[in-house]
Amino acid sequence: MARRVTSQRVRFLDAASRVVITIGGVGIVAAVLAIMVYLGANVLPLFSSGRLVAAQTRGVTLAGEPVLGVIDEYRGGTLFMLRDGRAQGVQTDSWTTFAPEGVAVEGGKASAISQVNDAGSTAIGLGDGRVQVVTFGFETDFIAPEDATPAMKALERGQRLTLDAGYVEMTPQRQLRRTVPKVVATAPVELGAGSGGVERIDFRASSGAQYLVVLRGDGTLVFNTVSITRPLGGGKPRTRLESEVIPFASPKGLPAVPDYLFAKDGGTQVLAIWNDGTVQRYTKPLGEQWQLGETTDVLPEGGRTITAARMLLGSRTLVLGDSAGEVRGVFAARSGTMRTPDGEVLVVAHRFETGYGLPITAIGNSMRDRCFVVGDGGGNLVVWHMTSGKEIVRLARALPGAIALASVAPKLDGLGAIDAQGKMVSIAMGVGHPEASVRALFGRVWYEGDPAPAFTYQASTGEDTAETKYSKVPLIFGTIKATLYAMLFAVPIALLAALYTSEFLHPRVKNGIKPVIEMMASLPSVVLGFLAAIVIAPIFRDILPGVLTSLLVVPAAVLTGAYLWQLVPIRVASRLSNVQHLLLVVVIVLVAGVASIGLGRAAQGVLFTPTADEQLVMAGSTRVVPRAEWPESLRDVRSLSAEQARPFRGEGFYYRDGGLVRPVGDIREPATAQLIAINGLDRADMRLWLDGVIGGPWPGWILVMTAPGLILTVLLRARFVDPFVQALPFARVGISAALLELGKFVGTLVVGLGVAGVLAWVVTASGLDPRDSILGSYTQRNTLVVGIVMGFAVIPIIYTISEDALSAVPGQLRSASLGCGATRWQTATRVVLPIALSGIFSAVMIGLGRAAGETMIVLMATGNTPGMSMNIFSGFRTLAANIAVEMPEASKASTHYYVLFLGALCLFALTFVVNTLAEFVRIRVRRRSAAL
Amino acid sequence: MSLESTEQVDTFQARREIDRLIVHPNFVPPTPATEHPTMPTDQPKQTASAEPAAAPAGGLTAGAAQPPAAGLLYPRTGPTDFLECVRLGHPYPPAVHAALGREKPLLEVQDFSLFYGQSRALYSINMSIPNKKVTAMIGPSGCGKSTLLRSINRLNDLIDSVSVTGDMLLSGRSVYAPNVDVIDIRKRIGMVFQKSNPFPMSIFENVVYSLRIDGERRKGVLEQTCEKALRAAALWNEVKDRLKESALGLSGGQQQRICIARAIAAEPEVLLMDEPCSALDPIATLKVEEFIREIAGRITVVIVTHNMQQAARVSDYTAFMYLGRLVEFGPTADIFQKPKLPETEQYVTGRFG
Ligand SMILES: Nc1ncnc2c1ncn2[C@@H]1O[C@H](COP(=O)(O)OP(=O)(O)OP(=O)(O)O)[C@@H](O)[C@H]1O
Ligand SMILES: [Mg+2]
Repeated sequence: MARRVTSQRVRFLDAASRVVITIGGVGIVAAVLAIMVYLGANVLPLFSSGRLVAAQTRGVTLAGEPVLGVIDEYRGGTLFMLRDGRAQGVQTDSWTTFAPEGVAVEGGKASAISQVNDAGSTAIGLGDGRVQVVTFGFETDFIAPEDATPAMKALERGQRLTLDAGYVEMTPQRQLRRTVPKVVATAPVELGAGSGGVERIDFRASSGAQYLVVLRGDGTLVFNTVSITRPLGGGKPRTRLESEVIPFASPKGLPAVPDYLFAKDGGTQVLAIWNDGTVQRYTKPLGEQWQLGETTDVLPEGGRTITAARMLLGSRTLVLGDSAGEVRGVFAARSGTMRTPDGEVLVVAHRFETGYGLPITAIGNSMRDRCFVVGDGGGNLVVWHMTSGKEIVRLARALPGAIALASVAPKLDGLGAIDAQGKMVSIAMGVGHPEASVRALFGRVWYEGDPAPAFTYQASTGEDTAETKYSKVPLIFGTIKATLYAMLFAVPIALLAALYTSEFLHPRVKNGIKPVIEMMASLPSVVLGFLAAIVIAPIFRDILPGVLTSLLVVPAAVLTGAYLWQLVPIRVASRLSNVQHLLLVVVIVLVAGVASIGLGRAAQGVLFTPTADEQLVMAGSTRVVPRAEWPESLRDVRSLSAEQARPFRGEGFYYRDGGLVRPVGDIREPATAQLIAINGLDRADMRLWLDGVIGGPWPGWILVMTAPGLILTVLLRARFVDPFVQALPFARVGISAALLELGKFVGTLVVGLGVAGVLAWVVTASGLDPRDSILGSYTQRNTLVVGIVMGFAVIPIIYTISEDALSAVPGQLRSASLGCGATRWQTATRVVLPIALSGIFSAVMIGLGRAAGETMIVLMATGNTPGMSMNIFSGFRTLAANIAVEMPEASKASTHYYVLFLGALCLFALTFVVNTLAEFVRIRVRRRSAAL
Repeated sequence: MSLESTEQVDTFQARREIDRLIVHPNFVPPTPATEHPTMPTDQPKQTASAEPAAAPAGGLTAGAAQPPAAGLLYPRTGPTDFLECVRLGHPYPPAVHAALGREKPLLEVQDFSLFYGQSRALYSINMSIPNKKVTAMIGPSGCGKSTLLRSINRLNDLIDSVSVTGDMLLSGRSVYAPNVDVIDIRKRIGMVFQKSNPFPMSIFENVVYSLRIDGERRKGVLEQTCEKALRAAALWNEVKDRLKESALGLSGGQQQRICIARAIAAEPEVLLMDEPCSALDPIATLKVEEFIREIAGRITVVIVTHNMQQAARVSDYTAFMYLGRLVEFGPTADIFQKPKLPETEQYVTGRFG
């Protein structure tokens, strides 16, 4: 017999396939790693802090004490405002000084000078009580080549030529860019109230409005709305003021003149600050007069004084530096319960330590974001970002003496500072991404005006000066919320369908059905999203009670059908083929679905019909309740919200326009009755209840508690009732057993609903309202809609894979189980399902991954509002949808851009973690059936 | 005349004939008068005939085409040449020993035929399994022993292409009538399969599976049953310390004994064993055989085996099957020592082609 040999061809194919498979496998791993690395590389810049590039120090001689310093956009010069109101500039590359044209002070002596505001203007108060508005900064233009001098033409790219005032630079595009100081002073104007010189002054500009607050020598605090007009024929622009007097009185024991004065929050608040930390906040609530809002102490630690103060961009957050080297960020925050006229309260939201323990002597703010620089008595400089709390740059002993002035360059690429001895430093730095820090991205952040730190995502805002809020948490929450609801819907359906097809359906039918379901998987998700948004969402809104009812009614109907089927004589039952069986179930589901619309409407009528009182309130037939008659706990609340008022509905108090009302009259009065009839105010409407307009917590708790109530009942039944029933003589066979089972089922249903009612009553009694957590106002494109539609998107995947897993279970085990006298259902649940569990687990996990990364459906079928509400009737925004929505508007290499990459990385990490966990579980599960 | 040589040649011929008949996809079984007229159809459900079988059932003597051979329970009607029957695709009238007439039947197989799609695996089998006795089924591989065994508790229902005609009566009640509760029948029957198939569960759960599905929860009852069953299956000493471990961690022979324990745990009336000892060592085999002998007086056992000695040792009656037909059925001693038909003799003496 010939020796058997492996042919050369076979050997070659073997080797080749091994190489190809290896390359493919390694390639896939490498590709996944490369994606990780790429994402990581695009995220890392976010977490790096700023860096120092260069620092130049020189002694400069100024004609007086500088009080303001402004750096130009290209960091060539610094313009100082001196104590007496004159301006002087320093060229920081050639270190020459110049005096700009346009004198700030005209015919008077400056007695107070304000910080340069967001519009680049300052206000000077004069000793005679007049005020002058001054545009204070630089201006750039381009010199036409024909106007250029030979010296200018000779410039290399990036080179600068110092002018008398300002400089010319050859740009990389070979254009001559001229930067010159611009100081434009308006003519001094009289204030409309008070007398005496200007003691303190602050000038603010926000979203078009400009306002000026001035404290005069006689103690009059004047708030002025400013409008500046430019005469047609040229000449000095003129200032017009509209003055209001704020009833100012300094606190007892403190000097009559506060150390700092600031206007803020769009001209609705004025802060007077004394060095000991006492702050008076004057406020002008909507439609009211100026009044003292509160007096607080922002420096409770004794022995310290405030040594520097500065308003940040946006004129909402105040930075205070104290004598111990600590810096605080202070703003007025909304608070529902404080006794202030406007319901706001001053809070110290952020704290920073220089770490040197020396008094803060200067604070400079960025004109771009919430960055600020502080300088202390030892010549140290630190740059922080207020909101994120991130330290950008730190320079120990930047200057030998105490810092007198510190400024941030307009493009955040440099700093400037001058010390008491006239030593000046010009610093070039890279700022990185100040708004991004681990805390800002993943922690609670206290944003301006918020009552407390929160997770907020708001990448783009209407105003330039508003804070950007980059918390990833609401997006992660939205992703999890969407995935959770989709899985809650999809997993039971997909698994039951898979179990049914693999265990009960004839192979021929199964071979027809499976491809159809698999085809569902290839349905583009944009189509599903479109359907969800355009078709399903409006239908759901209209038949909401029916949809909710069907969640109970359809399964209950199918089960009832199954129990009734047991009563059908086996002779009749066995005559039905498998397909007819299936059709019967479909018919039951359809009938139950249609019936639940009606049932839902009926349930809505029972649970959510407005009471007579509520109808009166909706019809406007009410009487306003004076505050003195309000419930005790609400009496102190300044700005009452509907949620706060809701629990007192039982006592006859209803919320209306920030106050409480009581219904009066009778719904049978003709006028009222007509109003009710016309507007359908007596109609039951679940959405009114969800909006909190009608009803107490109880009906909602019934909805929520139905599932727990039923589960509890089933568990209790299995524990206490079943063993007893099993022992009954007639419980085993025949019609009696079937009747018994049916009775048990119906009993469970009834008792379960009863238990739900009891549970609902208990939680209601404990004062909880589901509208504060998992229920709430109904938005048309909500979590329920997305959950169901996205559920449909993942059902085919879960179904196909788990069906394969179930079918792969060896038939001999089914034979063994059936041979032991088990029913098909027992075989399926006790033998087949546990063996296929690891495969089913994979199926669920793959479905989970699909749901988590799903973009189009959530994009189209939710409102895309990034929120943290548990409410299933609210929208949300997922990580994936966020990237899709915002990528086009994020400019490359911006913080926003990298934050979106971080979103992608989070999504990657999320699915990675879930899949890894799943793999662990799967391996554990599989070990049990390994030897099969 | 050398009977052996002619027979051998003929057997070969028959084999070829059978292959042609069975394998050919368009083969339609002919319907001789003696056979039940119902034909297999395409429909997925089994077609079972509730009509009483026309052919004689155990205990009855009907038809007298040929004079009753000595010692037979009833005369053999129709053609009695086995090869001729095979060639024509006819059933074969078995030689049923008269001794069976003295037994009270528990299971009566009546004119039972089974088709896997178009191919016929059983040809109008008629036999009565005696109550509380051990019946062995022997026959060459592929002759339909397992098929017949699986038909008794209707496990062939699981195979979609299967259709049957004829009926079986378990304690006088039809197994294949449309209104029977299959689950109920299976609960009365325990089965040990040819290939061991323990569930991927603990040893304990495997053994008490039947009780679990009946809703038994009392721990004491379960433990007692488990021990009893495992002892009977000669496995108790080996696994008593590892009842909570997976049954799949056991050796092949141990797994088979787990299946035996599982089959007998619920104390069935009938125990069907399909080559239960094929994976067992001689000692374990002996123990299982002892067990079978022990329960023989209490329950009915049907055991399929290829081991003639085993059949001789454990069984009271032996049925010889060949090519989907029952050939001879009688007391074990008679089958092995003085078979009535030459086919049987060839097989039991090992001179089988
Ligand atoms: N699932 C099936 N589908 C189609 N034909 C089958 C199937 N199972 C068995 N058969 C055929 O039926 C005939 C009888 O098979 P069976 O398994 O009953 O033989 P057996 O007597 O048990 O043989 P062995 O002693 O080898 O176990 C064989 O020809 C076989 O090919
Ligand atoms: Mg077999």
